[in-house]
Amino acid sequence: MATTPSAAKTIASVRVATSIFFLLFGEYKLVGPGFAHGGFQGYLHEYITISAVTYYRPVLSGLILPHAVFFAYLVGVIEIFVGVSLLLGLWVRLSSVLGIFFLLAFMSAYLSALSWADLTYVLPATAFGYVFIALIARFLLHEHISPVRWLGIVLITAGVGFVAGGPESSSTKKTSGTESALSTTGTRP
Amino acid sequence: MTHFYAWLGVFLIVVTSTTGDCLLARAMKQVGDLGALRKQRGIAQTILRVLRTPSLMLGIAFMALSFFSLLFALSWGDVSMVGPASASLTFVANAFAAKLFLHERVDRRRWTAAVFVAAGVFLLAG
Repeated sequence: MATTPSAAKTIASVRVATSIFFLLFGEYKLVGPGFAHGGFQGYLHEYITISAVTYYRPVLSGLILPHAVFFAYLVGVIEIFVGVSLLLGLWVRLSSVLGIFFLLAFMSAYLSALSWADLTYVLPATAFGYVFIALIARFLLHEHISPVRWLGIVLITAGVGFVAGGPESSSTKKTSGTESALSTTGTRP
Repeated sequence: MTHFYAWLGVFLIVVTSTTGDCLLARAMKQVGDLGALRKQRGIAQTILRVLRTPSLMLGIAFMALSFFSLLFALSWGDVSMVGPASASLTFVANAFAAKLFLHERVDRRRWTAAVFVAAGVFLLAG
């Protein structure tokens, strides 16, 4: 691929930054005992009972939760692997397969949300991802967040609060999945 | 002139990603609740049913187009302008499109949410 020197420099710095990000997360999961033994399990349990989409629950509670310790270490190992491979430029093809896997996971979660909720409900709700990234940067990478950006975080959170307080679907017909999602998330303020 | 091309890029991103999102939403409304469908037919049948919906593939194609528009726009303008502008305008455009084409009931609550999130994303990404 023919790139200008400045573009190559940018790509290299983004790549190194991303790999450090992965290494930090992987190190946290593997080195400290808190995550693999109990932390991940507790988080999963909470996620399944409160916020997981209906489509994901059987996979999480039937497959992942019984082997939580194994999967916790697996996620850590994969993150270290991706970090090293990005840093050294090794196993790039294998890493891109992992990337495709994550993209597929995103697509299936997004589509199953769209199957029971309106687009104008799902899109603002997924904007919470921007807030997560900013908070991760603040508390794990200790980046500085300017007042303007904090205002952005507040606005997104308020926006998500607005849609979450209302009905998730325009159609009056309610299916079983919608009802269970309603009761577990407790969307009424 | 470069300014014009950057905004053209943003316009392309917003149009293609809004079209893609609306097509995906329409496809999933046709399929119906995936949780209920999986309970009745099993996971393999559910996946097949989703993949066989024509507007899903069209929606994914538009998502890909929007990604390529982003690449074009980034080559025509700055990241600091193209990124926040396209991301935040997409939220507002989606609210209009969902009301027009998907006939979703976009009440005042949802308009407020779309505007708040658009403003927030603009500030956060800028």
